[in-house]
Amino acid sequence: MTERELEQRLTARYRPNVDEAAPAELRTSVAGIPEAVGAPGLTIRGLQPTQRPLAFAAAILLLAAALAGGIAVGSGLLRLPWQSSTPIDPASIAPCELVSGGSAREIAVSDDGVPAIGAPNVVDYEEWINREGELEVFSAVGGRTCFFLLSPDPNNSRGMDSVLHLRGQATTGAEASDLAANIFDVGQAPFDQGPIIEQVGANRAWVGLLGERPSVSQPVGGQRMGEFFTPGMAVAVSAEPYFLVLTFDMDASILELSDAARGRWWERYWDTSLWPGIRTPLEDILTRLTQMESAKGQ
Amino acid sequence: MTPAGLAEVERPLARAEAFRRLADNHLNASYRLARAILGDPAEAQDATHDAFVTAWRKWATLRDPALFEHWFDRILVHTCRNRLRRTQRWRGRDLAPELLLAPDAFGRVHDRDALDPAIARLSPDHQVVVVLRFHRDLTLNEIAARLGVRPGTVKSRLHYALKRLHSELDESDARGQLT
Repeated sequence: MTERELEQRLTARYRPNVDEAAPAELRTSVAGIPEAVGAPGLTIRGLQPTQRPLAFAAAILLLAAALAGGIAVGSGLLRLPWQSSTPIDPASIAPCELVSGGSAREIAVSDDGVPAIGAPNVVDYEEWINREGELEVFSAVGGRTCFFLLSPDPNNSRGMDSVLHLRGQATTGAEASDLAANIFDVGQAPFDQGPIIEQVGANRAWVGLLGERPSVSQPVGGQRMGEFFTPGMAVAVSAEPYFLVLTFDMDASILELSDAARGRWWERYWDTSLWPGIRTPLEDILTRLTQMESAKGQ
Repeated sequence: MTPAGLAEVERPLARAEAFRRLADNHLNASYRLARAILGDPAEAQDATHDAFVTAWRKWATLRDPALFEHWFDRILVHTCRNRLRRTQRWRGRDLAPELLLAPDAFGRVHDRDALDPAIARLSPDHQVVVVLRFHRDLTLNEIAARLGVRPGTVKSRLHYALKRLHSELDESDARGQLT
């Protein structure tokens, strides 16, 4: 079979699909989304009662993110570049220059294989350069599940649901830079809910939901195995020129991780529990989020 | 975008109506795309609905209604790809490979030739690229924009996807000739 024949076969494979119309019930259900879901961004009160426990789980993860952020930054486990006793030489931040100059987005790596940008000083972490040439730092601090993404480039989008969430809001690098600067200046992090601004030592951190996944069903052997909710959330810590983000992801599918990082996540954390021991403080976070939404509505 | 168009998106009272109109206009094409990626009609229906829920929640990030199709395609493709990933994980843990190739309880016909099973064995990223290329007939740049990756990445994924399909189909053809 030639390349041409394969392409023709693929084109023919999808041809019967081109006139297929969406089912009427789908059209009806989509039209009802604004009423069913509520106003964009206001999610907790707009949820169905059966979904609230799932939102509760989402908020638990939010708390976990806050705790990890506070612990990591406050205890020194995570030492931000500007906390260093040695001032950072701006000239050493090569990736920013590479990106702004329009060159390939690749992390500069020195002869000994160490990325030229400073990775966060985190106990027990591993690094990957993913397929996009971006640095990923995967950590298991204190057994917690977290990824540390170090992005010196505010236009370093990691997909639609990325932590920085800039690509959908900015069409040029300059716009993205302005947006990132705005985030640093006024705390307008791109969160769907929140943010709660926390003071962690001398640092500002924003905690908020990045977005809630819609409920999905799992088909296994022709049977649906129930619904669940997949939240994405993060703690963002400003540390210009870096924008350090700790993210928590229930199924590791939100972030565009490398296969290796995704595999590690899967192997290590799929069957572990995040929840025990943090339910009580979670209620505080949830209350504050609710109060925030109530204040907005008044 | 016209000032009137911008105002329409931004006015709270007009949001729902604007969403409904855009969703209605794009529903068929969106469902077809989900169907092409996921195969199963029920899965495609769920994914399309879920993607529209996400779109409504992220409505504030749509800057220009004229860009709705592009903006929503990205949401839909991510939704479908995540479903593929989850499905593959479950399958990898719970089902024997030979069961995956059998017709399912709903009577779908996967094995009318070797192409469908071969596509199903591609990684989710590769499947999505193949569908966008051969179902939507998009260019590499257009696919890259919908996936949020570089055109070179799309080119690479498409290359390896076609290479694998080629290999599997050749093997299948060879087996067919033997039997």
